[in-house]
Amino acid sequence: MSERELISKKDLLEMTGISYGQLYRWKRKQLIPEDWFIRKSTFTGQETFFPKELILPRIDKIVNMKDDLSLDELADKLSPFVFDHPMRKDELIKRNIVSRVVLQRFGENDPDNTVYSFEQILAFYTVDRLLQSGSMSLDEGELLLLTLKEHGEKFDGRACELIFIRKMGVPVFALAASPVELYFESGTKVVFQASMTDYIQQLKLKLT
Amino acid sequence: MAMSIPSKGNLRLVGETTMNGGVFGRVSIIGDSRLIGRTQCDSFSCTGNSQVEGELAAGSMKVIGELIVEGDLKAHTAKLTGEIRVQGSSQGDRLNVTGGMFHVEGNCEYEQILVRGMIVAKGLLSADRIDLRLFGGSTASEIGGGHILVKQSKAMSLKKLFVSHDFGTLRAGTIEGDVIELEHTIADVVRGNRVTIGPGCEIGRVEYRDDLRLSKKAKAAKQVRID
Repeated sequence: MSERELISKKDLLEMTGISYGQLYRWKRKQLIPEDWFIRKSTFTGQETFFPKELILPRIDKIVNMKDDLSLDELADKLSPFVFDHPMRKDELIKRNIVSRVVLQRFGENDPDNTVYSFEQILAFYTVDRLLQSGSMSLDEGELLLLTLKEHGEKFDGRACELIFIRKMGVPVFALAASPVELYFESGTKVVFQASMTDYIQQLKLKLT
Repeated sequence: MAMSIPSKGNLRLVGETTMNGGVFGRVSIIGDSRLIGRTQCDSFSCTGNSQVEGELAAGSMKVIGELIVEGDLKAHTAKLTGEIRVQGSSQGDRLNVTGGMFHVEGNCEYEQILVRGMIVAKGLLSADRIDLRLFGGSTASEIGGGHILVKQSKAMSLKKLFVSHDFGTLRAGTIEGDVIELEHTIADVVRGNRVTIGPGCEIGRVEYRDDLRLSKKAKAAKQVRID
């Protein structure tokens, strides 16, 4: 993985057209996590930098959503921490959050009125997304579901990445605290790598 | 069996008292009190000395006297007169210091900050509008917000008659805001759109976008316009 590209606060403000006041307000409301503020000494004194691939989409999201929502509501949606939002099985299908195929396969024994916790929905949703990307088979989905169930909660509140590798056709799933750098032996194929935080955010938007 | 939910009681402490923390409606303290543990209340008023051994979260706060918070201080609105020390960070909506000193070990983040007195923030001092009328030496490692105004209190000219060395200055590392007006400030870097550097300032580097006004009684080693 390449080194994270950084953008200085000055460039960020210029590029996005937001003001210092807005940036500090969003920081106070924790719309922008504290650990994205990277302080570095430069020849012009202390400067703050941000990881570019994280901050630009985030600011875009805040700017686009702040018309409809108050900043506090926005903070709830954007915070990386898993929030509690259980939902019924039939509603998940009806609202097309998790596809029927996934729920039929992995939740066939649960009656329609079963209420799934956010963690469970997240696991289904992740499996669903990977299936739809075409890189994983339904059987492998079961493996992923087990991995998420067993280890998902260990990342409670921390950013986490999902890595799916294959060697000689044998699938392996891994969860790693991000940012992570991994190098594999040759012959290993990294089929899929995604940030669980992204999935959490997408799912939150869909659920609420 | 029906469970009764205990309603939030009010707490009234008079004299020298020690009390456990908890959740309260109104807390009023007159005298010398110690609250042990996290304290949460709708309103907190204190005349005298008090110490909270833990976090203090209050809807509205009014302190005249001395208060030590051994944790974070969260207050929707805080009106403080006297000496207030917070050993954690402080957050809320409005902070109003009228006389005395407000000392925060961590960050101090409000939507509006008005200080007539002294403020010491070891971390970031941040608000949409920061209005500092200083009457005594203040420091902040970083200041950020929309509108930042720093002036010497009018009473300071009176104080100067009695105290020979100048105390009413603000020392800061970086100051960043959209509109910045400074007086008697010593800072490494000032970055803003519209910047006014008034008398008594010593600034290492000023970066501005739209407009810079520099007093003849101010020093700014470097001035850079950023397009």
